[in-house]
Amino acid sequence: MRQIFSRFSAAFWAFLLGTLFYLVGMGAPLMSAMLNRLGADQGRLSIEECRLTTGPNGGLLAMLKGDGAAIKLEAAPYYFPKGEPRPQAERLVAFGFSKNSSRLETAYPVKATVVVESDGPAVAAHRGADAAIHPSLVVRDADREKARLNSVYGGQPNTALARGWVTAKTIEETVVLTPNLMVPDLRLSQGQRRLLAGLDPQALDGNCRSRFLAEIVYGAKGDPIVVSVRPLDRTAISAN
Amino acid sequence: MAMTRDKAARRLDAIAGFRDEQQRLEDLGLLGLSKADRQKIRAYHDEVLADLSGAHDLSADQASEPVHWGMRMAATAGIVALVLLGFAALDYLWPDMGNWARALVAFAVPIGFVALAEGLYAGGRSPYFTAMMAGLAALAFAGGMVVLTRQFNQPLGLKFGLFASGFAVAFGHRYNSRALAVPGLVFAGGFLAAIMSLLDGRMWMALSGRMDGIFLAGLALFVVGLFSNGLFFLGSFAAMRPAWRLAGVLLAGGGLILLGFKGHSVLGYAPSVVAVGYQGLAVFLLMAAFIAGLWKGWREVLYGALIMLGLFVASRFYDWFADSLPDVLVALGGLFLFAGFLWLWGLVRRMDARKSLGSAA
Repeated sequence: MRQIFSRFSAAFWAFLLGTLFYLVGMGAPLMSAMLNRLGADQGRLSIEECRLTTGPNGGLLAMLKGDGAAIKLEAAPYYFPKGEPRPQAERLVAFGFSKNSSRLETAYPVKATVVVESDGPAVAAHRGADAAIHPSLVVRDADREKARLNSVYGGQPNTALARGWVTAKTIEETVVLTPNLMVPDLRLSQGQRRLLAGLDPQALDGNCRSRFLAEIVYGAKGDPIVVSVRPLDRTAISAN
Repeated sequence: MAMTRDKAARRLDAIAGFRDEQQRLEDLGLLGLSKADRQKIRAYHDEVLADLSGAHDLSADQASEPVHWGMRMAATAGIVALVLLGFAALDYLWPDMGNWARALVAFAVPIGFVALAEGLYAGGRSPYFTAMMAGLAALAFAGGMVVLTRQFNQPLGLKFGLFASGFAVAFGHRYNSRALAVPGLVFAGGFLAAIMSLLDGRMWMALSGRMDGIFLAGLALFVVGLFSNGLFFLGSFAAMRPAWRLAGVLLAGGGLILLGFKGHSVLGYAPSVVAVGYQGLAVFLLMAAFIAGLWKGWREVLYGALIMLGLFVASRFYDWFADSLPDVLVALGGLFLFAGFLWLWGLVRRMDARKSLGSAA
């Protein structure tokens, strides 16, 4: 073995190692994108309006900083020692917030996998077999028995459209959970932005109804990239 | 056997380094060569420079007249300005670029910087600018990975940092640049420890309560720096041992400083007991590294341990007195500590120079 290494110079091996790092580092996301062929050709994701906020579509710097997200899923801190329990506490438990911390340490979110399904807007925490390691946050229909949403949005129930990770950022006492679902690539028109900016602030106070705001259309099969977002006609849904 | 162009370039660098160091020692009053000796050495080196530069088409300028720091700073500023200009242009065009155009940029930019570094290295040009291009390649590689992982919805998490810093380490070794290898090793060790510490799925925020891994990773880097001469193929990189040792001191020292505060360890004992234990360990290990650095002539360990000891003392001062003393007294105490550190730095520098001179004699 030593002979093999001594056959070439140390600088050559360092170059080879650097090249391998480059190939793996750059190739891994592309390979993963190719292998993770998710869902239908054209899927749709709806998110409750009280959880949706928008940000600017930025350039390269915004993308590197992670500030280019055009859509965010926000959640209040459901457990902190001095906080009050909220109805959505079970969702934060899925992110690793513990109600009975024996070591009195600060509660931190657990790295969470996001699975977006085709049939609905509600966000529910699921604890699967490996939930202790990666609890998944499944976006699915809150009102399954009526099944009316399927006719509106198309697609098969429980079909994964996209998969990503939730990142958590603590701003003062608020934990902002952001699903990374190709959000930097969203393109919002001025009209869409005005609509989002004019949301009823009451909805943020915990009284969140399953109203639908955004429709995100995914790309072709094997390419789970969000390419556009469009506000839905809420009167049409109400009538339906 | 004929000398290769690469080795000839290194010899030129070595002569330039010798002349720099000779000047420094004479300025410190630690070296007193006679005028005749100085002329003999200079004539010999001039002859070697003429031979090498003629045979290998290399410039002897850098050896005969070391690059002025002002020139180097001006060139550095020019390169930084060019890079920022290119970045601003990409930032402007970014919203109109398609997914695959963005991916192409992410792939191509690091390769471009590596090609520039290779060109400079093969031509025996300035090691400083070679390392700078390699450093920019590492930064572009990290940025490219961020872009690709966000663009294709496949976030790598902390593995991204491990890849990027590993890339920097590899190219630090390739171009024999400690300025590139040391931060690369510190970040690679840090990211590896973070990945190990968060294997139970906690997000990176939880790392502040699990700093023990960072300290252990630093210790591991230091040990590799001690024994790499006999360890497998790492012996080929014997010249980079100081980089491993310095990275180890910085990472382990940084970890110990944080572990000296309550609540940063995973150990299941009372937080105050754990913190005091780590404070004792910090003093013991940093002092041991300091003495070993002085004893063995490992200057990077000596000064690295001195800096970490200074930071440790500052952190203890802040932790113990910041809440109980008025702000003015805290500021004055900080200034007093800083002045004491500068005095100690000068003292150690003189001790080190005397010891180096003694060893050379």
